[in-house]
Amino acid sequence: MTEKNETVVSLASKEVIITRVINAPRELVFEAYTNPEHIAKWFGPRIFTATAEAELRKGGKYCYVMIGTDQAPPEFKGPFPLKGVYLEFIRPEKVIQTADLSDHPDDWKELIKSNILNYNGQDFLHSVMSVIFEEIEKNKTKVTITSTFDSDEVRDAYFKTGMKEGWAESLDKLEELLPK
Amino acid sequence: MRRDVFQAIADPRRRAILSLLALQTLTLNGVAVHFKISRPAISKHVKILTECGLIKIEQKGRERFCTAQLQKLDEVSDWVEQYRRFWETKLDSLEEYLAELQKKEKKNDRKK
Repeated sequence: MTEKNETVVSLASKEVIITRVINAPRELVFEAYTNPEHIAKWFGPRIFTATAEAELRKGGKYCYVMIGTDQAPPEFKGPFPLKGVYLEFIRPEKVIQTADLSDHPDDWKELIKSNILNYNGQDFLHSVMSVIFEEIEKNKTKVTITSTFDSDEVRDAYFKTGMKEGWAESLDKLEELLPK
Repeated sequence: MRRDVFQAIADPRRRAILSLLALQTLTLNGVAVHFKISRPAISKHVKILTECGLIKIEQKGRERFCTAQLQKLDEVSDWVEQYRRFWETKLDSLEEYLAELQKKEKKNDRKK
């Protein structure tokens, strides 16, 4: 049994940073993380199916869509499209992409908006996501995912939404019910 | 103006004030001597921390004593923990998928 690698979240101004070591070679992690054929197979939690399309080059467009399966509760039916453009695409080191959530369901948008402290027109539907892949050993790749939001308040609204709706919790519960 | 815990801890000086008060109850002056910024600036930060529920102020005689109430910080760590778990599930799933891919590759190599 290998020990499970830790997923670490840290905060910086307007940013949330996630780091994790993945037990696989860097080229392969990069490929699975970016290639739409692979993304469709791992991106969505189990109650979602995901489709993905992407032009893998700087300036290329991408679109991932999560759709709730029959087992998903009504508020998770979606579809939840995430689309954008690659600002950088440097194989196998680094990807920077814009993240546009404007095609998400309206009630989802209202929920996020209601969680923004002193909302005064901040753009909460667009952020920038950068991913860095570092080889730390032959078969270990450190992945650092940084999301940059319009303001701290927008970033924090995403945290609060998770809490209020018990997103993660209900997903965990559902996962327990599903065959593994 | 609405306040929340995130806002309270967003400023490095407010975090410093909280760390100081986590160790001991101090008067407003007692807090101020630890910082180079002006006394009104300290008062402003203490006021924000109070409005966010992270500091309690008690008037005793002429002095006002500040005590940290750090339970509220749990809200932030709970929120962040849920976010962490959301990403952990995704990255676990990526890792499992990669392990399968590598197994398949090995099989194919053997066939060659």
